[in-house]
This record gives sequence, structure tokens and C-alpha cells, in this order.
Amino acid sequence: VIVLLLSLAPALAQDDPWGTIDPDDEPWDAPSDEPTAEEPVPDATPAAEAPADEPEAEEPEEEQPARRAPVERSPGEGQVPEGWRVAPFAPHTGAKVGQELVVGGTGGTNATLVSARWSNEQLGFAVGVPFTAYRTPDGRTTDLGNLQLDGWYRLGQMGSMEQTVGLELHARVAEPAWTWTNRADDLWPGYGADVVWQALSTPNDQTSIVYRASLGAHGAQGYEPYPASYVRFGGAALIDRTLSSRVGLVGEASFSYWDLSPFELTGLVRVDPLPGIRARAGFVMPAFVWFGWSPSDQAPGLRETTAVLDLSVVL
Amino acid sequence: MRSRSLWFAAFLAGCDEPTLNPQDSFVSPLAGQTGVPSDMELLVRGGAVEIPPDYAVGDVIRVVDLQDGGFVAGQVLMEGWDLRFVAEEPWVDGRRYAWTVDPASHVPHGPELPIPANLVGTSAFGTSEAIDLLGSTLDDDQRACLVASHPLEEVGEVRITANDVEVEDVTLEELREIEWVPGFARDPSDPYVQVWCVNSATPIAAGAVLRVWWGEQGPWSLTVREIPVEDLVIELHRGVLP
Repeated sequence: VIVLLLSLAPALAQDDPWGTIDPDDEPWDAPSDEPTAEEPVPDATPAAEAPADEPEAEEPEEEQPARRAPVERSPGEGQVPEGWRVAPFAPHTGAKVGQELVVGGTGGTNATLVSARWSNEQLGFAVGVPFTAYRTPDGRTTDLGNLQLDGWYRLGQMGSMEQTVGLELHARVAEPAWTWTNRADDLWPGYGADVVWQALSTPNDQTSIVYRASLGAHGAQGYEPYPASYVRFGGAALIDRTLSSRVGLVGEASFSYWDLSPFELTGLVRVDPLPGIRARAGFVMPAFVWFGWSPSDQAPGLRETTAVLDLSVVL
Repeated sequence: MRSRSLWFAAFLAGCDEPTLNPQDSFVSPLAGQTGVPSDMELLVRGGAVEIPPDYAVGDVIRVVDLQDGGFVAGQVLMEGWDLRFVAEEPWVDGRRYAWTVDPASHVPHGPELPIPANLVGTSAFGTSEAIDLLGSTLDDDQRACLVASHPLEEVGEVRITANDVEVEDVTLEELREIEWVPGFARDPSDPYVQVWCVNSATPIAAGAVLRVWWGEQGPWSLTVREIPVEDLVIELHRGVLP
């Protein structure tokens, strides 16, 4: 993703560096500041108008060959606001690969999530599976996380917000991975379901706000620090701010209990280098873990944070 | 399930942690015990909750040979709530060893072995037959009692001073184990410790500083405490006081 972003950096400064280049097109005359004979000065005075007995200015539209309008999508088109806890729920079909790296003294767990999503105007489904590399007393090992299945139903516009309800499921399907990152259910072997409500508000063209609430029941392999079963409730709020046609910022705050990271702050930069492609990078900061307010055995202190990267493609 | 997760939940709910009996949580051998058999395993009872099968326990227990300062090679095994250290080679006769139960033995973001705080720490044991006195307290009859580091076949001659005043007409009476040990389960080969109570013409009060000569050995300096004898033994086990 970094290589991709660097290679695209010069292009980011342009409005549309790729979309209209077509070898079959006529050479394109760059517009000049100087008025031409074919282009009457819009605010010309009557004295400057051409005499009546002179040929009238030609109609350039009829003489120029018709330019083919390229079929293109703008960067960011089809993309929807998404955080680290807040899921994308608008009509959105595509795939994503994401990477979480727990960095710092108590870090060492890496997780990669591969997922696909399909939705129409009313319903949406997603499937994903994470795999992980993590530390054990015997050295590093790799394992598969829990299979994730999500389903969404759009309630539509209700008041000022676009609302959606969903069901998020996860279940162990392979050898257990005895670790976790920020989302407690991704890796540690277990199963469960959450009922989710999300609402999208767009105060202006550049800003989206998403609210999320969830309630679920979960079972897990009950080795410390996980209980064998637990109820989880949570809430999150996300703000997505578009800075330019290709770049935006995402901030998210989330709380959930029971969870190994009960409160987190997330900051992401999103870049849409090509139509349908979105790259994001940022950090998830487990604030309550830093304060020692976590059910895991971690002393207070800034010992870890999670670097996150993902790349998604919208079809 | 005795779980930190539940404790965390209990904390949020304003409840107390679950209570443990002395028999539920202790280490063996006792701090300072001598005469430990060459094949005796080191036991941490109540130190383990389940961890995933085939998942390594880690260096929860570390043993150092105090003669050469080197770590003793061995395995930490988990059986139910017990952790056991099994040395690769038998304990060498006539040596002293220090052993440490470490609270931070698990890797971050991995299954945890929450070792209770009372079990964490370092103590020493020896394999020689040399006697040591590990503590002193008053029994129910207000007699000063001494905990010997291993059982003695013969008492021999004992001389005691209390606050530098000679204690007259000293005789020792063994306190039978059943009278003071609250049922610690232990290795059948473990000779354990012995408690002797002092019968004398001179009364000994709590807080007195005793100096004790036991045959050719000594003197040991001990302060007489005022706790039940069984509590003193539980302390040497790093157990939870009732």
C-alpha cells in the first residue's frame, strides 16, 4: 500500500490525471487566455462585435468531431464510510484485505483479514476470514481466526439519518489461534452473534457521521483472559471528513464490554488513488488498555498500539 | 471458574474476590526446608488455571543452584490447578537451591496463567540434613514453639536465652503434625518440617528475642511471634491465611 501511495503521489496533486486520455482522441488544444476568432469575448461591447457583412463566427461544436465521453468513475465513488468497529453498510460490493500490527513492548500479534462483500440497495452480506502470526512461549506461530459472516438490511432514510440493522456472526472453523488484536472475537477461538444498528448522517458533502450500537452473546474457549461466555454491548461513533477528491480522514471512538480493549480511539487516513480502490492507514489506540482498565493482565502504560492498513476494491 | 475475567466483572459489579482456603493455594517445599529428597518435585498448588492443550506453560518456575549460581534444567508441568517443577537431574545432596515463582510468565496477547499474589516470590530449600530454625511463635498454652527445617531423630541438648536471659530447665516437646497442619497434601517422600514447643521454668513472652543453640549448631536468633502455630507454617508455605 505504501509503495502504491508513493507511486501515486504526483498524481494526487492533479484533478484527473488518468481518466480522459484516449489515443483515438483528437489532439486537445489547451484553452488560451487570449480570445480567438471562434470564441467571442463574452462581455464584448457592441463596438467590438464583428461587422454584419463579415462572415459570422463559426459554430465550433458542429465543425469539431464529436468527442467520446469516457465512461469513468470518480475516485471514491461507491466507497462508504467505514471505521475500525463501524462497518460499511451502504450498497457496496467488493473485497478487502486488511492488516493489523500490534506494535510496542506488548505487541507482536499480526492479523490479516481477507473479506468480500455483496449488497444491493436493500440487503448486504459479507464474509471474511482472518489469519494471524503471534508469539507463544515456544516462539512464533500462525493460525486461522474465526470465520466472519455479516448480514445487513437497510431500513432507509429515517429522519435525518440513513439507518441499517445487521447481524454479525463469527465461528471457529479451524485450528485455534490463541491470541487477539483489538477486536476480541476475530482470532481467539469462539462463536457468537451481535445485533447491530448503524445510522449515517451527512451534515454536508464533505462530512459523514456514523453511529453504531450493538448487543450480542458470545462463547469462547474459556482460558484466561477470556470467559467461557459473555454478553457484549457496545457503541461507536465515526466521523469521515473528505479533504479532497481523493483524500479523507476518519476518526472513530468506540466502547464495548465485555472486551479486552473496552475503549479505543482510531485515526485513519484514506486515499482513493483510482476509481473503486481505497487504501487506508492509521492507528487504533487502546486507551483503556493503556490505563490498565482491561480484563487482561497488562500493567498501565503506553506499551502498545495497533497499526492498521487495508486496501479495498469496490466493483 | 476462578478467572480474572470474572474478577473484573465482579469489580465492576462491586463484589469481592472469591476466597481461598490454605489448602487451596501454597508452595512446597516450605521456605527454608532442608533434607529435601533428591527426587522431590517443587509444587505450586493453586497456581494454575487451565491453559490451552499443547500450549507451553513458559518459565513460571525457575530454580537456581546456589552453589554455582546456574539455572537448574527442568520442566514445568501443569496438572489441574498444580504447577510442578521436575528437575532433569536429581537434586544434588548437600546443596541449597533458590526457586522463584514468576507472575509474568505468559506472552502478551496470549493465554494467561494468573499466579495468585501469595504464591509469587523466591524461597530456598536444601538437600542437606543440616538443621535450621525457620520461626518461632506461642502456642495455645503460651509456650514458645520452634519450627525446625526438617524432622530430628534425636533432640539432643538445647540451650535458649530470651532477651539475653538464660531460660532455665528447657525441655522440648514435639507438636504432632495433626495438631497444627491444616491438611496440606504433599509428596509422600517429603520429610516436611517439625515443630517443637519449649517447656521451661522461665516464661517466654511474645516479642522476646530468642537465641537458640541446638547441640553443636547455633546460635539462631528468632523473635517470638504471637500467631497460631499453623499460621506460621502456612506462611512458610506462602499459603493464604484463613
